Amino acid sequence: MSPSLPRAVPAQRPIPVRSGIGLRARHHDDLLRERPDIGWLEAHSENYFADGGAQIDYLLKLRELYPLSLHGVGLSLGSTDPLDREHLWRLKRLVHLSEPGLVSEHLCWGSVNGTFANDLLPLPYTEEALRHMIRRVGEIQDLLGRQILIENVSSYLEFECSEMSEWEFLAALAFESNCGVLLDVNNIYVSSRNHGFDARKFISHVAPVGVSEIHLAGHTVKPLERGEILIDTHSAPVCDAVWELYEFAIERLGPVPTLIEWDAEIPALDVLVAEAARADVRMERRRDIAA
Amino acid sequence: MTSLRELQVAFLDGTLHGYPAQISSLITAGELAPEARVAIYANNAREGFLQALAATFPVVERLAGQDWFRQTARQYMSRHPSRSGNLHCIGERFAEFLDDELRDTEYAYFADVARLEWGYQEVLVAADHPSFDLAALSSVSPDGYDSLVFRVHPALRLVESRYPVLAIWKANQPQAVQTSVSLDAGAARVLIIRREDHVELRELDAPAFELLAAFMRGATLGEAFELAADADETADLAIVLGRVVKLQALVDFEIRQST
Repeated sequence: MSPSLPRAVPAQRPIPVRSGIGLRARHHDDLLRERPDIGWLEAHSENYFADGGAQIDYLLKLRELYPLSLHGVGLSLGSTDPLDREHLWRLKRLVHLSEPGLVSEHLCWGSVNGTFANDLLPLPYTEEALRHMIRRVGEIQDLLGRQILIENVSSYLEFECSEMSEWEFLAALAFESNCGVLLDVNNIYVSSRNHGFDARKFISHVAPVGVSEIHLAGHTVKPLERGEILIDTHSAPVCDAVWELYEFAIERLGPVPTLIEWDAEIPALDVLVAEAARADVRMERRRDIAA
Repeated sequence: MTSLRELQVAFLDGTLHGYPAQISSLITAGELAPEARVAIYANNAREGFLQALAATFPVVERLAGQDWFRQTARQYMSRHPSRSGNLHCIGERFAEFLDDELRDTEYAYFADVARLEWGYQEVLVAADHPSFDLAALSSVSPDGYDSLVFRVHPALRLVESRYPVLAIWKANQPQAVQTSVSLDAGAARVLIIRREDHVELRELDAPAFELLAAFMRGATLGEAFELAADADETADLAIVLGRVVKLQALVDFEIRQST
Protein backbone atom coordinates (compact mmCIF):
# COMPACT_ATOMS: atom_id res chain seq x y z
CA MET A 1 0.00 0.00 0.00
CA SER A 2 1.40 3.40 -0.90
CA PRO A 3 0.02 6.71 0.29
CA SER A 4 -2.18 8.52 -2.19
CA LEU A 5 -1.22 12.16 -2.22
CA PRO A 6 -4.02 14.06 -3.89
CA ARG A 7 -3.18 17.65 -3.00
CA ALA A 8 -0.29 20.01 -3.19
CA VAL A 9 0.90 21.23 0.19
CA PRO A 10 0.43 24.92 0.88
CA ALA A 11 2.16 26.38 3.90
CA GLN A 12 0.74 24.95 7.09
CA ARG A 13 -0.87 27.38 9.51
CA PRO A 14 1.07 27.59 12.75
CA ILE A 15 -0.80 27.14 16.02
CA PRO A 16 -1.16 30.62 17.60
CA VAL A 17 -0.30 31.36 21.22
CA ARG A 18 -3.96 31.32 22.21
CA SER A 19 -6.40 28.77 23.44
CA GLY A 20 -8.02 26.19 21.21
CA ILE A 21 -10.55 23.42 21.65
CA GLY A 22 -10.62 19.70 20.99
CA LEU A 23 -12.60 18.95 17.83
CA ARG A 24 -15.51 16.56 18.30
CA ALA A 25 -17.85 15.33 15.54
CA ARG A 26 -20.93 16.68 17.32
CA HIS A 27 -19.55 20.22 16.95
CA HIS A 28 -18.64 20.00 13.25
CA ASP A 29 -21.77 21.77 11.99
CA ASP A 30 -21.89 24.29 14.86
CA LEU A 31 -18.28 25.30 14.19
CA LEU A 32 -18.88 25.80 10.49
CA ARG A 33 -22.05 27.79 11.14
CA GLU A 34 -21.07 29.85 14.19
CA ARG A 35 -17.33 30.22 13.57
CA PRO A 36 -16.62 31.10 17.20
CA ASP A 37 -13.59 33.16 18.09
CA ILE A 38 -11.17 30.44 19.14
CA GLY A 39 -7.51 30.24 18.26
CA TRP A 40 -7.30 26.73 16.83
CA LEU A 41 -8.68 23.21 16.76
CA GLU A 42 -7.13 19.92 17.73
CA ALA A 43 -8.45 16.69 16.20
CA HIS A 44 -7.81 13.15 17.39
CA SER A 45 -5.93 11.75 14.40
CA GLU A 46 -7.63 8.34 14.55
CA ASN A 47 -11.09 9.91 14.18
CA TYR A 48 -10.06 11.02 10.69
CA PHE A 49 -8.30 7.88 9.46
CA ALA A 50 -11.13 7.25 6.96
CA ASP A 51 -10.36 6.74 3.27
CA GLY A 52 -13.12 9.20 2.39
CA GLY A 53 -16.52 10.42 3.50
CA ALA A 54 -18.08 13.17 5.58
CA GLN A 55 -15.64 13.26 8.53
CA ILE A 56 -12.64 13.99 6.34
CA ASP A 57 -14.65 16.59 4.42
CA TYR A 58 -15.50 18.34 7.69
CA LEU A 59 -11.88 18.33 8.81
CA LEU A 60 -10.70 19.83 5.54
CA LYS A 61 -13.38 22.54 5.66
CA LEU A 62 -12.60 23.39 9.28
CA ARG A 63 -8.88 23.61 8.64
CA GLU A 64 -9.62 26.40 6.19
CA LEU A 65 -11.17 28.34 9.11
CA TYR A 66 -8.87 27.45 11.99
CA PRO A 67 -5.27 26.37 12.42
CA LEU A 68 -5.28 22.64 13.10
CA SER A 69 -3.32 20.35 15.38
CA LEU A 70 -3.42 16.53 15.13
CA HIS A 71 -3.32 14.56 18.35
CA GLY A 72 -2.85 10.79 18.22
CA VAL A 73 -4.18 8.45 20.87
CA GLY A 74 -3.53 5.05 19.33
CA LEU A 75 0.00 4.76 18.00
CA SER A 76 1.22 2.79 21.04
CA LEU A 77 4.53 4.58 20.79
CA GLY A 78 6.13 2.93 23.83
CA SER A 79 5.15 -0.61 22.90
CA THR A 80 7.92 -3.14 22.29
CA ASP A 81 5.97 -4.38 19.24
CA PRO A 82 7.09 -2.99 15.88
CA LEU A 83 5.17 0.19 15.00
CA ASP A 84 1.90 -0.55 13.22
CA ARG A 85 2.63 0.23 9.55
CA GLU A 86 -1.04 0.64 8.64
CA HIS A 87 -1.55 3.13 11.48
CA LEU A 88 1.56 5.06 10.48
CA TRP A 89 0.54 5.13 6.85
CA ARG A 90 -2.88 6.51 7.74
CA LEU A 91 -1.30 9.11 10.02
CA LYS A 92 1.13 10.16 7.34
CA ARG A 93 -1.67 10.46 4.80
CA LEU A 94 -3.74 12.55 7.22
CA VAL A 95 -0.79 14.83 7.98
CA HIS A 96 -0.28 15.34 4.28
CA LEU A 97 -3.96 16.05 3.66
CA SER A 98 -4.61 18.39 6.57
CA GLU A 99 -1.21 20.09 7.01
CA PRO A 100 -1.48 20.48 10.76
CA GLY A 101 0.50 23.12 12.66
CA LEU A 102 1.37 20.54 15.33
CA VAL A 103 1.34 16.74 15.55
CA SER A 104 1.40 15.02 18.91
CA GLU A 105 1.29 11.63 20.61
CA HIS A 106 1.64 10.27 24.15
CA LEU A 107 4.38 9.11 26.47
CA CYS A 108 2.76 5.72 26.87
CA TRP A 109 2.14 2.35 25.30
CA GLY A 110 -1.14 0.59 24.55
CA SER A 111 -0.47 -2.77 22.96
CA VAL A 112 1.76 -5.81 22.92
CA ASN A 113 1.79 -8.97 20.79
CA GLY A 114 -0.65 -7.20 18.48
CA THR A 115 -3.37 -6.86 21.12
CA PHE A 116 -4.50 -3.35 22.06
CA ALA A 117 -5.94 -2.02 25.30
CA ASN A 118 -6.83 1.20 23.42
CA ASP A 119 -5.75 3.08 26.51
CA LEU A 120 -2.79 5.24 27.48
CA LEU A 121 -0.78 2.83 29.63
CA PRO A 122 2.12 4.15 31.72
CA LEU A 123 5.70 3.16 30.99
CA PRO A 124 8.22 2.15 33.60
CA TYR A 125 10.66 5.06 33.78
CA THR A 126 13.80 3.04 33.16
CA GLU A 127 16.90 3.67 31.07
CA GLU A 128 15.78 0.82 28.77
CA ALA A 129 12.34 2.40 28.23
CA LEU A 130 13.94 5.81 27.63
CA ARG A 131 16.27 4.43 24.93
CA HIS A 132 13.30 2.65 23.39
CA MET A 133 11.17 5.82 23.34
CA ILE A 134 14.02 7.87 21.86
CA ARG A 135 14.32 5.34 19.02
CA ARG A 136 10.59 5.26 18.42
CA VAL A 137 10.12 9.03 18.45
CA GLY A 138 13.03 9.26 16.01
CA GLU A 139 11.36 6.71 13.76
CA ILE A 140 8.07 8.69 13.68
CA GLN A 141 9.80 12.03 13.15
CA ASP A 142 11.81 10.56 10.27
CA LEU A 143 8.72 9.05 8.73
CA LEU A 144 6.61 12.20 9.01
CA GLY A 145 9.53 14.45 8.19
CA ARG A 146 8.69 16.78 11.07
CA GLN A 147 8.93 17.21 14.80
CA ILE A 148 6.22 15.67 16.97
CA LEU A 149 5.19 16.64 20.48
CA ILE A 150 5.01 14.08 23.26
CA GLU A 151 2.45 14.41 26.04
CA ASN A 152 2.64 13.16 29.62
CA VAL A 153 -0.32 10.93 30.58
CA SER A 154 -2.38 10.53 33.74
CA SER A 155 -1.49 7.39 35.63
CA TYR A 156 -3.00 5.26 38.34
CA LEU A 157 0.05 3.19 39.16
CA GLU A 158 3.83 3.33 39.19
CA PHE A 159 6.19 0.51 38.38
CA GLU A 160 8.63 -0.73 41.02
CA CYS A 161 11.43 -0.93 38.46
CA SER A 162 11.35 2.80 37.58
CA GLU A 163 14.80 4.36 37.85
CA MET A 164 13.81 8.01 37.39
CA SER A 165 10.81 10.28 37.74
CA GLU A 166 8.32 10.83 34.94
CA TRP A 167 9.51 14.44 34.55
CA GLU A 168 13.15 13.38 34.27
CA PHE A 169 12.11 10.81 31.69
CA LEU A 170 10.07 13.31 29.65
CA ALA A 171 12.77 16.00 29.73
CA ALA A 172 15.46 13.50 28.71
CA LEU A 173 13.28 12.17 25.89
CA ALA A 174 12.64 15.68 24.56
CA PHE A 175 16.31 16.61 24.83
CA GLU A 176 17.65 13.49 23.18
CA SER A 177 15.06 12.88 20.47
CA ASN A 178 14.45 16.54 19.66
CA CYS A 179 10.72 16.12 20.04
CA GLY A 180 8.59 18.87 21.52
CA VAL A 181 6.76 18.62 24.83
CA LEU A 182 3.01 18.76 25.15
CA LEU A 183 2.48 19.44 28.82
CA ASP A 184 -0.87 18.18 30.05
CA VAL A 185 -1.37 20.14 33.25
CA ASN A 186 -4.45 18.18 34.24
CA ASN A 187 -2.53 14.91 33.81
CA ILE A 188 0.30 16.24 35.97
CA TYR A 189 -2.24 17.18 38.63
CA VAL A 190 -4.04 13.83 38.47
CA SER A 191 -0.80 11.83 38.66
CA SER A 192 0.64 14.06 41.39
CA ARG A 193 -2.41 13.45 43.55
CA ASN A 194 -2.43 9.73 42.78
CA HIS A 195 1.26 9.21 43.49
CA GLY A 196 1.98 11.99 45.96
CA PHE A 197 4.55 14.07 44.10
CA ASP A 198 4.87 17.83 43.76
CA ALA A 199 3.18 18.89 40.51
CA ARG A 200 5.19 22.14 40.42
CA LYS A 201 8.42 20.20 40.52
CA PHE A 202 7.31 18.32 37.39
CA ILE A 203 6.66 21.59 35.54
CA SER A 204 9.83 23.29 36.75
CA HIS A 205 11.95 20.36 35.66
CA VAL A 206 10.46 20.19 32.16
CA ALA A 207 10.37 23.97 31.59
CA PRO A 208 14.00 24.35 30.42
CA VAL A 209 13.56 21.95 27.48
CA GLY A 210 10.65 24.06 26.23
CA VAL A 211 6.94 23.34 25.97
CA SER A 212 5.12 23.80 22.66
CA GLU A 213 1.57 23.11 23.81
CA ILE A 214 -0.46 22.75 27.00
CA HIS A 215 -3.54 20.60 27.56
CA LEU A 216 -6.21 21.35 30.13
CA ALA A 217 -9.16 19.10 30.95
CA GLY A 218 -11.47 17.96 33.68
CA HIS A 219 -11.06 14.80 35.73
CA THR A 220 -13.17 12.73 38.10
CA VAL A 221 -12.44 12.05 41.75
CA LYS A 222 -13.27 8.48 42.69
CA PRO A 223 -13.61 7.92 46.44
CA LEU A 224 -12.03 4.74 47.81
CA GLU A 225 -12.35 2.95 51.13
CA ARG A 226 -9.17 4.76 52.11
CA GLY A 227 -8.55 8.04 50.34
CA GLU A 228 -9.43 8.63 46.73
CA ILE A 229 -8.07 8.29 43.24
CA LEU A 230 -8.30 10.82 40.41
CA ILE A 231 -9.33 9.52 36.99
CA ASP A 232 -8.58 11.46 33.83
CA THR A 233 -12.04 11.41 32.24
CA HIS A 234 -12.10 14.63 30.15
CA SER A 235 -15.75 14.85 31.17
CA ALA A 236 -15.88 18.03 33.25
CA PRO A 237 -14.71 21.66 33.44
CA VAL A 238 -11.10 22.34 34.41
CA CYS A 239 -10.98 22.43 38.23
CA ASP A 240 -9.60 25.36 40.28
CA ALA A 241 -6.48 23.49 41.35
CA VAL A 242 -5.61 22.76 37.71
CA TRP A 243 -6.19 26.42 36.76
CA GLU A 244 -3.74 27.39 39.54
CA LEU A 245 -1.22 24.90 38.26
CA TYR A 246 -1.75 26.28 34.75
CA GLU A 247 -0.99 29.79 36.02
CA PHE A 248 2.19 28.45 37.57
CA ALA A 249 3.09 26.77 34.27
CA ILE A 250 2.70 29.92 32.17
CA GLU A 251 4.63 31.90 34.76
CA ARG A 252 7.51 29.54 34.08
CA LEU A 253 6.99 29.05 30.36
CA GLY A 254 5.32 32.24 29.21
CA PRO A 255 2.06 31.93 27.27
CA VAL A 256 1.82 28.66 25.30
CA PRO A 257 -0.88 27.42 22.87
CA THR A 258 -3.40 25.87 25.24
CA LEU A 259 -6.06 23.31 24.44
CA ILE A 260 -9.30 22.59 26.28
CA GLU A 261 -10.06 18.87 25.97
CA TRP A 262 -13.56 17.58 26.63
CA ASP A 263 -14.09 14.10 25.20
CA ALA A 264 -16.87 12.54 27.29
CA GLU A 265 -20.25 13.98 28.24
CA ILE A 266 -19.36 16.58 25.64
CA PRO A 267 -21.07 19.94 26.28
CA ALA A 268 -22.49 22.44 23.81
CA LEU A 269 -19.91 24.33 21.78
CA ASP A 270 -20.41 27.61 23.65
CA VAL A 271 -19.47 25.94 26.94
CA LEU A 272 -16.18 24.81 25.41
CA VAL A 273 -15.55 28.22 23.89
CA ALA A 274 -16.15 29.86 27.29
CA GLU A 275 -13.73 27.43 28.92
CA ALA A 276 -11.11 28.28 26.29
CA ALA A 277 -11.62 31.99 26.99
CA ARG A 278 -10.66 31.35 30.63
CA ALA A 279 -7.25 30.15 29.44
CA ASP A 280 -6.91 33.21 27.17
CA VAL A 281 -7.63 35.54 30.10
CA ARG A 282 -4.82 33.92 32.06
CA MET A 283 -2.39 34.18 29.15
CA GLU A 284 -3.33 37.86 28.69
CA ARG A 285 -2.74 38.54 32.36
CA ARG A 286 0.65 36.86 32.06
CA ARG A 287 1.53 39.01 29.05
CA ASP A 288 0.53 42.17 30.96
CA ILE A 289 2.76 41.22 33.86
CA ALA A 290 5.65 40.44 31.54
CA ALA A 291 5.23 43.72 29.60
CA MET B 1 15.23 -7.54 36.26
CA THR B 2 12.05 -7.49 34.21
CA SER B 3 12.59 -6.25 30.68
CA LEU B 4 10.23 -3.69 29.14
CA ARG B 5 8.89 -6.45 26.90
CA GLU B 6 8.23 -8.83 29.79
CA LEU B 7 6.55 -6.08 31.75
CA GLN B 8 4.28 -5.16 28.87
CA VAL B 9 3.28 -8.77 28.14
CA ALA B 10 2.52 -9.43 31.82
CA PHE B 11 0.69 -6.14 32.29
CA LEU B 12 -1.57 -6.42 29.25
CA ASP B 13 -2.33 -10.04 30.03
CA GLY B 14 -3.23 -9.07 33.58
CA THR B 15 -5.30 -6.13 32.47
CA LEU B 16 -7.27 -7.78 29.70
CA HIS B 17 -7.64 -11.24 31.17
CA GLY B 18 -8.27 -10.37 34.78
CA TYR B 19 -5.26 -11.88 36.54
CA PRO B 20 -3.75 -8.79 38.17
CA ALA B 21 -2.20 -10.92 40.96
CA GLN B 22 0.47 -12.02 38.45
CA ILE B 23 1.72 -8.50 38.01
CA SER B 24 1.17 -7.00 41.43
CA SER B 25 4.82 -7.48 42.34
CA LEU B 26 5.76 -5.10 39.51
CA ILE B 27 3.61 -2.27 40.88
CA THR B 28 4.19 0.14 43.73
CA ALA B 29 1.37 -0.34 46.24
CA GLY B 30 0.96 2.96 48.11
CA GLU B 31 -2.46 3.69 49.56
CA LEU B 32 -4.14 1.54 47.00
CA ALA B 33 -3.34 -2.13 46.37
CA PRO B 34 -1.74 -2.99 43.00
CA GLU B 35 -4.76 -5.12 42.07
CA ALA B 36 -7.07 -2.15 42.50
CA ARG B 37 -4.76 0.01 40.38
CA VAL B 38 -4.69 -2.54 37.57
CA ALA B 39 -8.49 -2.79 37.87
CA ILE B 40 -8.76 0.88 36.86
CA TYR B 41 -6.93 0.12 33.60
CA ALA B 42 -8.96 -3.06 33.09
CA ASN B 43 -12.12 -1.03 33.50
CA ASN B 44 -10.93 1.71 31.12
CA ALA B 45 -10.06 -0.84 28.45
CA ARG B 46 -13.39 -2.63 28.83
CA GLU B 47 -15.51 0.52 28.89
CA GLY B 48 -13.69 1.99 25.89
CA PHE B 49 -14.27 -1.23 23.97
CA LEU B 50 -17.94 -1.55 24.99
CA GLN B 51 -18.74 2.06 24.18
CA ALA B 52 -17.08 1.84 20.78
CA LEU B 53 -18.92 -1.41 20.01
CA ALA B 54 -22.26 0.04 21.13
CA ALA B 55 -21.65 3.11 18.97
CA THR B 56 -21.06 0.84 15.96
CA PHE B 57 -24.02 -1.49 16.59
CA PRO B 58 -26.78 0.70 18.09
CA VAL B 59 -29.58 -1.37 16.54
CA VAL B 60 -28.24 -4.66 17.89
CA GLU B 61 -27.91 -3.00 21.30
CA ARG B 62 -31.45 -1.69 21.11
CA LEU B 63 -32.86 -5.06 20.05
CA ALA B 64 -30.90 -7.06 22.60
CA GLY B 65 -31.09 -4.63 25.52
CA GLN B 66 -28.15 -3.01 27.27
CA ASP B 67 -27.46 -5.80 29.75
CA TRP B 68 -27.32 -8.52 27.16
CA PHE B 69 -25.27 -6.33 24.86
CA ARG B 70 -22.70 -5.54 27.54
CA GLN B 71 -22.36 -9.16 28.55
CA THR B 72 -22.02 -10.30 24.94
CA ALA B 73 -19.59 -7.49 24.16
CA ARG B 74 -17.37 -8.65 27.03
CA GLN B 75 -17.33 -12.20 25.67
CA TYR B 76 -16.60 -10.83 22.21
CA MET B 77 -13.76 -8.72 23.62
CA SER B 78 -12.15 -11.73 25.26
CA ARG B 79 -12.41 -13.79 22.07
CA HIS B 80 -11.58 -10.97 19.65
CA PRO B 81 -9.63 -8.30 21.52
CA SER B 82 -8.79 -5.10 19.68
CA ARG B 83 -5.99 -5.58 17.15
CA SER B 84 -5.69 -1.91 16.23
CA GLY B 85 -4.87 1.41 17.81
CA ASN B 86 -8.01 2.66 16.10
CA LEU B 87 -11.11 1.63 18.05
CA HIS B 88 -13.26 2.05 14.96
CA CYS B 89 -11.92 -1.31 13.75
CA ILE B 90 -13.13 -3.51 16.61
CA GLY B 91 -16.51 -4.42 15.14
CA GLU B 92 -15.14 -6.29 12.16
CA ARG B 93 -15.86 -9.78 13.51
CA PHE B 94 -18.93 -9.03 15.64
CA ALA B 95 -21.48 -10.40 13.14
CA GLU B 96 -19.47 -13.61 12.74
CA PHE B 97 -19.25 -13.89 16.54
CA LEU B 98 -23.01 -13.43 16.91
CA ASP B 99 -23.53 -16.10 14.25
CA ASP B 100 -21.57 -18.55 16.38
CA GLU B 101 -23.26 -17.50 19.61
CA LEU B 102 -26.84 -17.32 18.43
CA ARG B 103 -27.13 -19.92 15.70
CA ASP B 104 -30.35 -21.93 16.08
CA THR B 105 -31.78 -19.50 18.62
CA GLU B 106 -34.65 -17.08 18.11
CA TYR B 107 -32.07 -14.27 18.14
CA ALA B 108 -30.08 -15.60 15.18
CA TYR B 109 -31.14 -12.54 13.17
CA PHE B 110 -29.01 -10.26 15.39
CA ALA B 111 -25.98 -11.43 13.38
CA ASP B 112 -27.42 -10.15 10.11
CA VAL B 113 -28.47 -6.88 11.72
CA ALA B 114 -24.85 -6.56 12.90
CA ARG B 115 -23.70 -7.31 9.35
CA LEU B 116 -25.86 -4.45 8.09
CA GLU B 117 -24.56 -2.06 10.76
CA TRP B 118 -20.95 -3.00 10.04
CA GLY B 119 -21.57 -2.46 6.32
CA TYR B 120 -22.99 0.96 7.18
CA GLN B 121 -19.85 1.82 9.20
CA GLU B 122 -17.56 0.68 6.41
CA VAL B 123 -19.46 2.72 3.86
CA LEU B 124 -19.17 5.84 6.05
CA VAL B 125 -15.37 5.76 5.92
CA ALA B 126 -14.71 4.17 2.51
CA ALA B 127 -12.90 6.04 -0.24
CA ASP B 128 -14.60 8.53 -2.52
CA HIS B 129 -14.77 7.96 -6.24
CA PRO B 130 -15.79 10.29 -9.08
CA SER B 131 -18.94 9.23 -10.89
CA PHE B 132 -18.99 7.04 -13.92
CA ASP B 133 -18.80 8.43 -17.44
CA LEU B 134 -21.37 6.33 -19.28
CA ALA B 135 -20.32 7.75 -22.62
CA ALA B 136 -17.02 5.90 -22.35
CA LEU B 137 -18.92 2.62 -22.69
CA SER B 138 -19.87 3.48 -26.25
CA SER B 139 -16.28 2.87 -27.29
CA VAL B 140 -16.68 -0.82 -26.41
CA SER B 141 -17.63 -2.96 -29.39
CA PRO B 142 -20.55 -5.36 -28.77
CA ASP B 143 -18.34 -8.43 -29.03
CA GLY B 144 -16.38 -7.10 -26.05
CA TYR B 145 -19.43 -6.83 -23.74
CA ASP B 146 -18.97 -10.25 -22.20
CA SER B 147 -15.41 -9.31 -21.16
CA LEU B 148 -16.40 -6.04 -19.48
CA VAL B 149 -15.38 -5.85 -15.83
CA PHE B 150 -17.12 -3.15 -13.84
CA ARG B 151 -15.63 -1.51 -10.81
CA VAL B 152 -18.12 -1.08 -7.99
CA HIS B 153 -18.19 2.12 -5.90
CA PRO B 154 -15.77 1.74 -2.97
CA ALA B 155 -18.43 3.10 -0.55
CA LEU B 156 -20.88 0.30 -1.32
CA ARG B 157 -21.70 -2.90 0.56
CA LEU B 158 -24.23 -5.68 0.05
CA VAL B 159 -25.92 -7.62 2.83
CA GLU B 160 -28.13 -10.63 2.25
CA SER B 161 -30.28 -12.14 4.96
CA ARG B 162 -33.15 -14.57 5.29
CA TYR B 163 -34.65 -12.03 7.69
CA PRO B 164 -36.16 -8.63 6.84
CA VAL B 165 -33.06 -6.85 8.19
CA LEU B 166 -33.63 -3.53 6.46
CA ALA B 167 -37.14 -3.22 7.89
CA ILE B 168 -35.74 -4.14 11.33
CA TRP B 169 -32.95 -1.58 10.97
CA LYS B 170 -35.36 1.16 9.90
CA ALA B 171 -37.81 0.41 12.70
CA ASN B 172 -35.00 0.80 15.22
CA GLN B 173 -33.63 4.16 14.17
CA PRO B 174 -33.87 6.83 16.89
CA GLN B 175 -36.42 8.87 14.95
CA ALA B 176 -38.51 5.88 13.76
CA VAL B 177 -42.19 5.65 14.49
CA GLN B 178 -42.92 2.57 16.54
CA THR B 179 -43.78 -0.34 14.27
CA SER B 180 -43.47 -4.07 14.57
CA VAL B 181 -41.65 -6.17 12.02
CA SER B 182 -42.37 -9.87 11.61
CA LEU B 183 -39.25 -11.99 11.38
CA ASP B 184 -41.16 -14.11 8.87
CA ALA B 185 -41.62 -11.16 6.53
CA GLY B 186 -39.09 -12.67 4.17
CA ALA B 187 -35.50 -12.37 3.04
CA ALA B 188 -33.75 -9.10 2.33
CA ARG B 189 -31.03 -8.18 -0.14
CA VAL B 190 -29.76 -4.80 0.92
CA LEU B 191 -27.62 -2.28 -0.89
CA ILE B 192 -25.74 0.18 1.35
CA ILE B 193 -24.21 3.05 -0.58
CA ARG B 194 -22.81 6.44 0.39
CA ARG B 195 -24.33 9.40 -1.43
CA GLU B 196 -23.22 13.03 -1.41
CA ASP B 197 -24.44 13.77 2.12
CA HIS B 198 -26.01 10.58 3.48
CA VAL B 199 -25.87 6.80 3.40
CA GLU B 200 -28.66 5.18 1.44
CA LEU B 201 -30.00 1.72 2.26
CA ARG B 202 -32.38 0.04 -0.13
CA GLU B 203 -33.54 -3.43 -1.07
CA LEU B 204 -32.58 -4.92 -4.40
CA ASP B 205 -34.25 -7.73 -6.28
CA ALA B 206 -32.34 -10.99 -6.70
CA PRO B 207 -30.86 -10.45 -10.19
CA ALA B 208 -29.65 -6.89 -9.45
CA PHE B 209 -28.14 -8.07 -6.16
CA GLU B 210 -26.38 -11.02 -7.81
CA LEU B 211 -25.11 -8.84 -10.62
CA LEU B 212 -23.55 -6.35 -8.19
CA ALA B 213 -22.22 -9.11 -5.96
CA ALA B 214 -20.55 -10.69 -8.99
CA PHE B 215 -19.00 -7.34 -10.01
CA MET B 216 -17.67 -6.93 -6.48
CA ARG B 217 -15.92 -10.28 -6.83
CA GLY B 218 -14.35 -9.10 -10.09
CA ALA B 219 -16.52 -11.15 -12.43
CA THR B 220 -16.88 -10.19 -16.09
CA LEU B 221 -20.25 -9.04 -17.38
CA GLY B 222 -20.69 -12.43 -19.09
CA GLU B 223 -20.09 -14.29 -15.83
CA ALA B 224 -22.22 -11.84 -13.84
CA PHE B 225 -25.13 -12.24 -16.27
CA GLU B 226 -25.02 -16.02 -15.80
CA LEU B 227 -25.21 -15.62 -12.02
CA ALA B 228 -28.01 -13.08 -12.27
CA ALA B 229 -29.94 -15.41 -14.61
CA ASP B 230 -29.54 -18.23 -12.07
CA ALA B 231 -31.22 -15.96 -9.50
CA ASP B 232 -34.15 -15.18 -11.80
CA GLU B 233 -34.25 -16.78 -15.23
CA THR B 234 -37.13 -14.54 -16.35
CA ALA B 235 -35.26 -11.30 -15.74
CA ASP B 236 -34.28 -9.09 -18.68
CA LEU B 237 -30.60 -8.70 -17.83
CA ALA B 238 -30.01 -5.62 -19.96
CA ILE B 239 -32.74 -3.86 -17.95
CA VAL B 240 -31.24 -5.13 -14.70
CA LEU B 241 -27.84 -3.78 -15.71
CA GLY B 242 -29.46 -0.46 -16.60
CA ARG B 243 -30.97 -0.25 -13.12
CA VAL B 244 -27.63 -1.02 -11.49
CA VAL B 245 -25.97 1.73 -13.54
CA LYS B 246 -28.75 4.13 -12.53
CA LEU B 247 -28.08 3.39 -8.87
CA GLN B 248 -24.64 4.92 -9.45
CA ALA B 249 -23.22 1.72 -8.06
CA LEU B 250 -20.57 1.39 -10.77
CA VAL B 251 -17.65 3.76 -11.12
CA ASP B 252 -15.42 2.38 -13.82
CA PHE B 253 -14.88 -0.49 -16.23
CA GLU B 254 -12.18 -2.28 -18.16
CA ILE B 255 -12.09 -4.99 -20.78
CA ARG B 256 -10.59 -8.21 -19.45
CA GLN B 257 -8.19 -9.56 -22.03
CA SER B 258 -8.71 -13.25 -22.58
CA THR B 259 -5.67 -15.25 -21.54
